[in-house]
Amino acid sequence: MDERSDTELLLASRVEPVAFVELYRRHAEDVLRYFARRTLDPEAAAELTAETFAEAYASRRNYRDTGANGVAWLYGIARHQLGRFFRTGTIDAAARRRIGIAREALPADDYERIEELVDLAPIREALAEALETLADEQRDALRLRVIDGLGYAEVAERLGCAEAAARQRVSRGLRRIALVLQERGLSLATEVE
Amino acid sequence: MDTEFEFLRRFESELSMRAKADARREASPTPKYPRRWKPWVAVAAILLVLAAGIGVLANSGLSGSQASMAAVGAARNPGAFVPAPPATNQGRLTFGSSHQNQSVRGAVGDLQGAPADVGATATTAPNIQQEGANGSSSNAAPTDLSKIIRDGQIALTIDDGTFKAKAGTVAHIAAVNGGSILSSSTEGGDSGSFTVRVPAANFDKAMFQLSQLGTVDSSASQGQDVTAQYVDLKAHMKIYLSRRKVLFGLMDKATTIGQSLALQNQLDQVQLKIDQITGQINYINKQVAESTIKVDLHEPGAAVAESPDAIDNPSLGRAWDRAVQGILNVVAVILIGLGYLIPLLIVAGIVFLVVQLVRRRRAPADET
Repeated sequence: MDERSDTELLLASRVEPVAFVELYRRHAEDVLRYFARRTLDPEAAAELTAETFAEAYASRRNYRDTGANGVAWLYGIARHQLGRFFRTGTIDAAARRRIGIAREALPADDYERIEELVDLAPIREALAEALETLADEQRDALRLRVIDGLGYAEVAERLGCAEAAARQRVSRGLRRIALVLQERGLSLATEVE
Repeated sequence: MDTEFEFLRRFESELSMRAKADARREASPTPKYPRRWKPWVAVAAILLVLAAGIGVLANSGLSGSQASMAAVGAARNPGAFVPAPPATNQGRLTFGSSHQNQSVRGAVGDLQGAPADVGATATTAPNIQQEGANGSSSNAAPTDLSKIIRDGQIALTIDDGTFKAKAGTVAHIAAVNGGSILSSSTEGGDSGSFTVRVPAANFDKAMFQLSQLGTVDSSASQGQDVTAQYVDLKAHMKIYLSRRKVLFGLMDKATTIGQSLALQNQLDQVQLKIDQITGQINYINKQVAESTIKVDLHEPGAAVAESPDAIDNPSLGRAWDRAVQGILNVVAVILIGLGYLIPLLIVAGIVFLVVQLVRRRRAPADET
């Protein structure tokens, strides 16, 4: 276990790149949770997490110790990524390409695990309204999964499609809803500092 | 990493591999550049070197072909052959056909023999050209085209009390060599400086005679080759003379006052240029025809009269000109090379775009 602080790890990673991996171990789940609560979409959350750490790794030499915890710098990058996601509705993979890491699909089991990170209770009412903006396929999948609380196997069975397709419909629908809620100025979660 | 998310574990593995690779690279002494532009720097450098190489080859090939054309011309008409002027003595690249050069050389050769005629009046210029054309077709002996301005300086210590007599001898030497004293200055009756102008043909003789006046403290002579400048002026002169001839022809055909005025205006400008070039040619001819010798005489212990330009400063202006010329030469060679490379690059670019297009079309197919 590395005893160094986040700031020390970031500073050390300039000449000792492996130190950055320790920083990733400490904060990857928190950053994933941060994105999951804001995008509602497991796929988008995972992609944004990877892109944030890739961007931080690529530009770690730009980090300056200003006295605050080094993790604040990391969340600064995360906020930037999130803002771009809400503006464009897409997730860039430029930083991953720059450091030579391939874009990977989200494993099936991770969908449900990431959804569990999201506390949907406070936004259920807003969700119901936002659902009306979705295509029928996505709306049905979301209702079954988010409002009725069914598992993906059951959702797929009810919709008469493969489980992977059900996952994709829910994922796309959630991403759309997150964008709609963002446009309406609804805060999905408080900022992590 | 202790996490239940498979995605995060995979990414950690990738990140760790990348960090270890970077750590190895950090430890190696090789220079590090951002991955994104390193290949472009290499490609640009290779292209520049390639262009320069091709440019040098193309340039030498061009010079070779010009030389062979000149040789062929000489074989056909030996009498008209004129040795090429040393155009490279000012670090200048010359581009142009051998035909043009020969025409200019012909005109130059004839003008050299009669410099006074050139400057007589602007209207006599066509006659000079005519004579030049005739001269180039006659079987005259090979003409030395080199235009060299020769100057010299000599400082002498003379015997006590002989300054006045020696000063008179300097004037005599100038006179017997067909020259004169351009300026003189004396100081205290025992030392002085003289600027002597003598015909270039008598330069060496005059320098020798002056050196016999006393003990030589220092002596120097310089030659400034202005052949290339002279040839350029002659080429310009030929162009303007041709233009004037055309304008005269148009004047004859002009039917309106407006046309006549416009042509007259152009004719005036051309005539002005001809006058200017004629003046420059006359100046060079005069400088070449006569040499300047600066003579310093002083008795032992006398204060040496120092002329204002006695100190031979290095010519920064000339150094700058040569530097600029050198840069232009390199740029010219690279430009020639690029001329050969650009068509190849266009083909390579089209191939690259096609490959990119095919890849992009395949990518979505792979994703599905």
